[in-house]
Amino acid sequence: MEAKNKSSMEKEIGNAKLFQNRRQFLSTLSVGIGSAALGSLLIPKLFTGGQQGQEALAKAIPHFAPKAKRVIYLFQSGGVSQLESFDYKPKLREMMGQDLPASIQGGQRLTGMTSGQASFPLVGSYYDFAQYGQSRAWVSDLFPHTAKIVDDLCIIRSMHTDAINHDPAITFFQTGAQQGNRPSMGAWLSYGLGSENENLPAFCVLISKGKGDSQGIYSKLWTNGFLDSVHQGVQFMGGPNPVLYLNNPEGTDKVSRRNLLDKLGELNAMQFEVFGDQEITAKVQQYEMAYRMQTSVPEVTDVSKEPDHIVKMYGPECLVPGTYAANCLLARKLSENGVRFVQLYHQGWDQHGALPGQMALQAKDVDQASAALVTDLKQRGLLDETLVMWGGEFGRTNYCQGHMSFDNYGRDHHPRSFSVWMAGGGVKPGLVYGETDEFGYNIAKDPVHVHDFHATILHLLGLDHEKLTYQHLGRRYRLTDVAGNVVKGILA
Amino acid sequence: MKATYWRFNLLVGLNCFIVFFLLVEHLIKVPSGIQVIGRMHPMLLHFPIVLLVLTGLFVNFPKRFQESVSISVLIRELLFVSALTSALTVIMGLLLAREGGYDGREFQWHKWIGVAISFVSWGLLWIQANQHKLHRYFFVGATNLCLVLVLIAGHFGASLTHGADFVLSPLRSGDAKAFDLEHAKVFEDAVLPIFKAKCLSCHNPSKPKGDLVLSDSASILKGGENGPLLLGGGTTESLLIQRLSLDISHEHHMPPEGKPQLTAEELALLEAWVANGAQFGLPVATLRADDTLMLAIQAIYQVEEEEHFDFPSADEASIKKLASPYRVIRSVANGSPALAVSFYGTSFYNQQSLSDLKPIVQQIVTLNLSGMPIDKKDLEMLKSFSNLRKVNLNNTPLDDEGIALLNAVPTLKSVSLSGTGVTVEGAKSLLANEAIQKLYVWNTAINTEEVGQLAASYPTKYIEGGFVSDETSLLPLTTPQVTPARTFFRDNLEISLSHAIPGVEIRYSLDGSEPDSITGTLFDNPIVIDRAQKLRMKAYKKGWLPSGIVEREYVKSPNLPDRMELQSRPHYLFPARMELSLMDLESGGDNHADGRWQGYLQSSFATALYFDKPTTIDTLMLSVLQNYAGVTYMPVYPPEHIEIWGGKDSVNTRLLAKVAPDLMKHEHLTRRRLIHCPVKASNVQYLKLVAKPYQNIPAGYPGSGAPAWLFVDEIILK
Repeated sequence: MEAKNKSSMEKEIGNAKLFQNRRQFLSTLSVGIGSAALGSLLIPKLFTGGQQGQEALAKAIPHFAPKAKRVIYLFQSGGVSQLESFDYKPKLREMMGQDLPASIQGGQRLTGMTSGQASFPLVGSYYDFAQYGQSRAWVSDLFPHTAKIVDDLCIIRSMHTDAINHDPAITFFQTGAQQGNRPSMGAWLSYGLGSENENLPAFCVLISKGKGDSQGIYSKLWTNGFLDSVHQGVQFMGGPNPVLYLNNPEGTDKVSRRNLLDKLGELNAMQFEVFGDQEITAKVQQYEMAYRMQTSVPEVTDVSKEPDHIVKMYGPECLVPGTYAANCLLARKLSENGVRFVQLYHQGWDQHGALPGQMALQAKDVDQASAALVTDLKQRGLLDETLVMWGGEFGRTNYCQGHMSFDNYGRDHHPRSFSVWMAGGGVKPGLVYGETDEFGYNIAKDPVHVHDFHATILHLLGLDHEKLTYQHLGRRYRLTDVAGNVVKGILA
Repeated sequence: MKATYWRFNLLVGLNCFIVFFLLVEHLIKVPSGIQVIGRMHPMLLHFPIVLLVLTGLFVNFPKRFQESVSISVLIRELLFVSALTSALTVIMGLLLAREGGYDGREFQWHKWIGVAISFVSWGLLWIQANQHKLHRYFFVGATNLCLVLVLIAGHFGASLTHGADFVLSPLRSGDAKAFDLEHAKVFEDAVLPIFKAKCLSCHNPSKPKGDLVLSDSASILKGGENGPLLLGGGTTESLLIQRLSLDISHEHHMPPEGKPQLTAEELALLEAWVANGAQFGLPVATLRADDTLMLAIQAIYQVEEEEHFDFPSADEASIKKLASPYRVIRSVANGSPALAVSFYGTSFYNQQSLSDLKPIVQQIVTLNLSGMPIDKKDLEMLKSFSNLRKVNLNNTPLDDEGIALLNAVPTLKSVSLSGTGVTVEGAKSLLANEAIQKLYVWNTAINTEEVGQLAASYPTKYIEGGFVSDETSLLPLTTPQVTPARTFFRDNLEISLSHAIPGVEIRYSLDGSEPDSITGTLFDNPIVIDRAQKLRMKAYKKGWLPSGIVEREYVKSPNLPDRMELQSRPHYLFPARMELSLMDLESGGDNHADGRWQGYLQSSFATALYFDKPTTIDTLMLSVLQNYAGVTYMPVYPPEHIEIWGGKDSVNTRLLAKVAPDLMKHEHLTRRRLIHCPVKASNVQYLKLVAKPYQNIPAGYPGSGAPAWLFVDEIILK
């Protein structure tokens, strides 16, 4: 049964391990072939292709059906201000302009952009808050559509991270490490769970750009790192060719493409015989998947069959390729078609200045479509098995950066506390988890670290974050490295 | 010699095995049968100890045995030691029993047999010494009886230490009852396992510490020497919860320090159970999904929709044969016989796609046919899916007739019918099936009121009607798309307008007037622009609010210098295409880093233009970017001033114009701005343009005091 669970890709990963295992096995032969034969009775499938890699994977997968099967991560790149979205702090308005007490700041690290400021005047949200739903969650006026679905959401107000600047922070969120050499979360899931629909990549990436000031998004964020390259994310573009270089070149038809792949496959198989390099097999698999994607991608990216009111739901921008709304709609379609991990990035949340104006534009970009995505999954009976996450790489300071007035101010990066939300896939709905202090600076209750966040996501997908490992450079690696606890309080 | 060889071989084999075992320890999985052998370790360990002690005796006192190497002497010595240790063991055991906590049948047997062994071994020693007086068989029989007693006493002793059934339990764990939501009882399946794991080693009928036994409901109700456990029903009055909640260092905290403690989740479950009235017969299935007790159970046990399937696994070979990228077959959980089947790719779906699954039809519990062109025959086929729990039929050509066929699948719990032709009648007939728990009917003929009625008639079932477009509140359309994006042109420019939503009308004006739905020109053919014009447009559609207005100011750039020389060095991050980007007719966007804007900080932008023939230039325009407070450390301002020098050549020049652009108010800032410089130069062959960014941003503007960035894009000559 286990073997059946594994896609052929995972088998290949395991095969690499098999070679190593046989070497180890042979080196132990000297102590006596008879005892080895006896001992081997205790090693399941030693001679039949049971491999360390697979065994390791099997250990990471518990014997129960996972709650979530797929993930859609709506990443708000730049660092959404929690103080204008989900973390309501009336005290900041009362104390507007007064200095942040040193006891609260506690000498913690600040960015070079504000550490030189003469004062740290507290600044309250320009936007009002209200409570919504049965959960009575506080949501700002900037997110009216999200406010309507709070009873489907689990809002975590006590996220914190180690990094203080965009690149390390976003890399940390995506890969569990601040340096960019580790596999991305989507690659780990592809490695751990395999692909559900082999006609599409298990890990897809969609990028959109808002009107606010934005920070870079680069392919290292969806890298496979040291994992096999079949696990890396594939970017879908907004435009006539969603996947670059997927279509046949002019003058090549499907039959000659097939012939070419068959012949190429034979050559590659010969190379593999000689070198035994798993990357050769990975390459062949990628060619084959690309061939199948020539049919599946046009089918999945076609929005013409969506009912008219889907546009009212996601907002009219959902038909404009490359927008956040269009990406949300596409994310739903990809996820519905078995894509394990759909990663969206919406750039433009870096409001060091002009926050009220820019954030209104940013929120307008994402609010309706994010809420629509959750509702859309729900009404198709897919929310139970799809985990949706929304949030940025860090929060923003409770004090003003630069010029300050009631309706115009800025906020610097704040890694100590910020808000994200999750929905579906085994997360407790209608829950507000964690609290910050009355200044919204430090966490007062139930902190959730990035490693905890990762551990919880893996748990929801039925993977043990401590057992999902990959041996590289002489040691085993995990998404959560050597930390992380599953946040039991948010599990349904 | 032969015997020695045999012994040697045995020892080599066993020791090699130990070495091998140590080397590959991490790979070894001990099967349950071998586990039993492992658990006998505590029993066997006594043998080498005793025998080694004996050997030590013989080795240390060889003189005592040298002259009389006879078996009877050896046996006598052994019997003596055995009898002595037996007696000591019994005495120690009796002392231990006095500490309390040991009671019950098992203990009594253990105690009396232990005592018997002590006496019998003493007797044996006596018989051995007087063997000549009695028959030899009597001695042998008595010895064997003693061995049997040792076994029995050992067994009961082990049961007392490790719990009854310790040795054989690995063999039974295979058929341990899985937590099955439908049939589970709160006490039996959720509470009792916690007692078993954490309490029963001290509070069992054989060892009722504090007179408390937690193995069954009657004993739990009775309580212990300190009174009943479950008074009142509130958690604060309950002795059970009180003791469990005490600080670990407290004398009365349970389980005692050093023993395995309850986890927070286990304690929460016990609290919820007590708060709920500590009912013993309550089935889990009657709890609401958001009940505290239910959530506490779920925090420990994986119960939600987790069903234990006892049908046999499907044949691996047939699964392999049937699986393809377009028909994905997976087991629902690691090791479960249940299968989930998903179909992908409508063009690969055919008449056989579903019927091919016959060999594994019994194992399929979830089926995803979303978007597939299924027909009546496929639905009839579903009847044979005897264990189907969940089916996704979203966006399939299914109608009420098909629903009738679905009704023939009595095990179905969850049905997704979004985007199908199902009506309220079909939904009603489906919901009449007792097993159905979830139904999804968004985007069907069933309207909101009908969903409400269905929900009212079936309050325990989940019926999802989904998003309903609120027709009273209109949404604004998105703005029309304009191609090409550039706004500078040499001779003329052909402009196309488009909109993503079908059926949208785009109306425009070229005279600066409002392009409203009546007077605005309806766009149908590309607009040709051949002079400086302002294009304004809006999108209209019935049932929508009009889009915002889009304005494009087209600027004709008719004159080109014959040569251009960039005399300044742009910031290394924003070189654009150096001089090429200054007159390429491409417009930079709102983003300073889009590769079309040339950036300057604390240094001036300077470029020279050369004309082969004397030329008359009336106006020069420079396109710049403005973004005062976008990124705090990058305030982008127009230049503080622009100087234009001109003349016959680069030596004979004079200042033609100096323009200091006014600063727009921050609130009314446009990102792109075209600065007009009246040059009024006639017959020049050389022009030089110098634009100096603010060294200090003026007071009252964002970033004041700091140096400003200058971004330039296009130079236009008229």
